[in-house]
Amino acid sequence: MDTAHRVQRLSRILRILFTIVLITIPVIQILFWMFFNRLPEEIVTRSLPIMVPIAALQDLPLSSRLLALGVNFISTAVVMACVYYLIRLFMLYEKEQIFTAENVGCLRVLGRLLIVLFFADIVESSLLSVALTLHNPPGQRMITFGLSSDEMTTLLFGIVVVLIAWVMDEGRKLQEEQQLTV
Amino acid sequence: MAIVINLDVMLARRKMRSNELARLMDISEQNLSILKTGKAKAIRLSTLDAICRHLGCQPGDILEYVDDEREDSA
Repeated sequence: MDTAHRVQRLSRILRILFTIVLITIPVIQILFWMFFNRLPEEIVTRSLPIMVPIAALQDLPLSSRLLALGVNFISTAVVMACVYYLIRLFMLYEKEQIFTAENVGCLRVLGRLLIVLFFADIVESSLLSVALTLHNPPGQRMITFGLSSDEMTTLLFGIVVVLIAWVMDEGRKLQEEQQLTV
Repeated sequence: MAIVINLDVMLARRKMRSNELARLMDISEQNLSILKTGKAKAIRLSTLDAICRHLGCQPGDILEYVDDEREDSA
């Protein structure tokens, strides 16, 4: 099997996988906040990117959970957009379109979205702490600010993907020149 | 572009069709069309050699430099 066929085959598998992921992400988010009060502590602490004490998260009212779901959709929307552009990219690879303007555009948008995700995660984390403690009496409400290695990794990935998009654009120019050389 | 391809002029002078030239040169009609329509970004010396050989002409008969700025101001 030559490389082009391998690229096509793997791209098809990844496209299907990411399509499932795209559908699953919002469903999991909704289920997470719907059954938040019944989830084990370990899952809750691992899933939330904030430093709110677990005691403050006991029996969250529906209004708080809905607010948290809304806030959570800030980064979820960006992640879903990233997955959408990945699907588009793999669709192009399936059609053996590698060094095309559309392809480069997908990578460029993907990189920029990852950089946006870095900021979205920071904002979301702070807003989430407010949303989860808003039902508490005054004095027990919280706002947290945090920057973890996860966000830094996202930012770094974003910058790398933008760089790769620039390199791919150079490749596109080379291919275009080669195609127009008689 | 400042370089003009006069291939269609030479083909008309030699009363030769482009598909015939493409066949003689062993290149696709599509590639010859890219050259004829001026879409080409580069031309190989081997291609130029084949065109001159089959049309019995010089590279200068095919390629012509036209100063865009001077032409615009005239």
